[in-house]
Amino acid sequence: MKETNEQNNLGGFFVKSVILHIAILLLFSIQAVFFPSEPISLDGAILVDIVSIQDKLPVVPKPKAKAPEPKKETPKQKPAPKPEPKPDLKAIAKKKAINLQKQKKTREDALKRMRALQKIEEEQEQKEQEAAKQVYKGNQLSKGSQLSGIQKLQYDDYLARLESHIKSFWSIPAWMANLDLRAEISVRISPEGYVISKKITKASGNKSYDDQVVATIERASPFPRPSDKFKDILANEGFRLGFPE
Amino acid sequence: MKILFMLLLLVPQLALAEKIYIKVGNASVKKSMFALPAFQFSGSTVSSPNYVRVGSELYKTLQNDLDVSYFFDFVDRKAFLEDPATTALRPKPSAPNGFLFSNWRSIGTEFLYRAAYNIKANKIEVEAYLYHVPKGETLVARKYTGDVGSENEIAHTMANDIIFRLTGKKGIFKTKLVFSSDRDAVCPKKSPNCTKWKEIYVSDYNVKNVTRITRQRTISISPAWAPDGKSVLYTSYAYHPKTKQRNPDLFSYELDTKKSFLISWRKGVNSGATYTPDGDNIFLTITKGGNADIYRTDKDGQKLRNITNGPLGALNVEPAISPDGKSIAFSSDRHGNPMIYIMDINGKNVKRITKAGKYNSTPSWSPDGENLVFAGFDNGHFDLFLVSKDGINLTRLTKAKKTNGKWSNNEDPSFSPDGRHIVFVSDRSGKKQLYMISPDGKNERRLTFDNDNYFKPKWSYMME
Repeated sequence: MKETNEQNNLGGFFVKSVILHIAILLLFSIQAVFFPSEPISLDGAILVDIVSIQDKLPVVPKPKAKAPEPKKETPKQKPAPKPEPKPDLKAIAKKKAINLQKQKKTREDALKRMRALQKIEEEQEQKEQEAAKQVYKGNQLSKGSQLSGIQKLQYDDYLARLESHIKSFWSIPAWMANLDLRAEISVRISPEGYVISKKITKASGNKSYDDQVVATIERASPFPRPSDKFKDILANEGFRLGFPE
Repeated sequence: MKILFMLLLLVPQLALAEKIYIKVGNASVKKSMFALPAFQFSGSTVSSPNYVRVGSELYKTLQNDLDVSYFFDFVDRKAFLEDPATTALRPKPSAPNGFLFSNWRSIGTEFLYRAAYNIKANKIEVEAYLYHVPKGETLVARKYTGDVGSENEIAHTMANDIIFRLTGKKGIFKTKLVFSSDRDAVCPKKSPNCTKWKEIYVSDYNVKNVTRITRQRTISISPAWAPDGKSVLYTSYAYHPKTKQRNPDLFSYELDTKKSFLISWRKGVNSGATYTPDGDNIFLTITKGGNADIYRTDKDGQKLRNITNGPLGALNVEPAISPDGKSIAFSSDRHGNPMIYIMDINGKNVKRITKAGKYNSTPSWSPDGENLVFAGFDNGHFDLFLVSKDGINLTRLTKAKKTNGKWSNNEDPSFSPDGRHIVFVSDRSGKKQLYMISPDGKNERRLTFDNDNYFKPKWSYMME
């Protein structure tokens, strides 16, 4: 009898456990169906530059030395439009009796002032640019001198696709095989993958072989479309191909 | 200042761009479409009644040579858009009646060969042109002359010119083979064993133009070319009147003078001889005191020096000198089953090359000195195998069944001087016939079609 009781108890626990499991499963299924979470976008991931860029803090005192200057200069800039020479000129026009030397002097003075103001402006601009050049964490989203993370993966993936694409078009006549020839070509492609330019950069010494290399590029166009991150590089700088290596 | 600033921003991109370099790798290889219309006869059909035979011989030989190069597929004659019999050999507009490149381009022709021949005073004259059709370019323009009867040679020269023009490398179509065969063994009434007679023959690479060079009425085997192609070595069971016995002696035969010279007649076997690439020395197998060892002599059979020495009772046979003259491949059963070994030319530094199989023999070097082809006994029959000189990359080249369903023997391989072919013996037809194959195991091709037997073919060096 005891045994059967224990069995019954065990059975009860089992049934409860099953019901609980089903309930949890249902809960998650409903959540997944009716409240879908946002898909994780790899493309939109923020690129974090791990290259050792200096912290913002130590940089702050540096611009301090330079920053005050533009601050002092900016108020100077405002009086700059003071039409100092203009009243002079108006006065001259009204009086008509002041000698030319005086006029000249005042004009020169005005010009000097204007030049000085211009110089100050230029200096300020320069300093602002220099300040902008100061790279510190947070003020810069560089493209990264070393590819890393997702971009590196995307880059490698694209190169692999480019390579297999060209390979599928690379064929030569049988009589050209085993001649131990090598050529290099430089290619630029549009964001749509079409050839913008192609140029043999290292000739094989056998014109027919070079022709085959050029013909392969022509046959292979359009190439796989580069992603936005690489399209400028591929259109401006392009890539080099070694046939066969 | 602004420009500098822009440049600084671009630096990482430039660095990235410089890194994009792709090695495309080896190309896939395709055959080129070759149009080979019939040759025009430009002479008088009345004065040259043999013009059809001459023209057909020229054409067939050239076509076969081009086919053997494995560079081309031929454009079907039915696809021709113009009649090559009525259009001139040169293109329009330079020839008023000339052919049009467009007619050939539109049917996918890459190369067009146009030729005409004439027969005057028993001399054949051929005028021939090779065109690269897509570019409309003349690649070969040549005249050939030769006696009636030399059609094969003329055609081989034409084929060599085509190959040389395209690849910059010499064609093999004027190279020769030397081999042993029973094809002339006629049974005299008193010699029931006559079928064992084998003589030595020289032929074109395609086993046409066959010339018997021995008339020993015995077994003549293991021929080998001198590097200059002017003489061959062979072993013949020569009769020695003093001892009243036959002994396998080594002879040299001069093709120009048609004379044989005795080189080595030491008691026992004097066989498996080969010249060094400079032609100054001969390496061969001599049995002394029951041991088969490799010896070196000068080309007159003097100054004998042993290169291998045992071990006792071991065979050291079939020396093959590497193209650089620095090493010898040979077969030996010094470690049990016969295997391929390589040693220095002086017999030092013996290295075992093959380890698998029960019986590996008859090594032949590829002309670049990188590989060896040999016959290996596997599953009850011989097949050709290729192995690098380091003993790696062992590849089987042949596998063929006889008509009775049993596996055939494929043996006695010899590389062509351009390294693109291997001639060998196969008994797949029931008789030992000559075949050729590419070193990648493709393009197997039968060379002889008779009921005779052929043995130990050796491909010559380049003849010109």
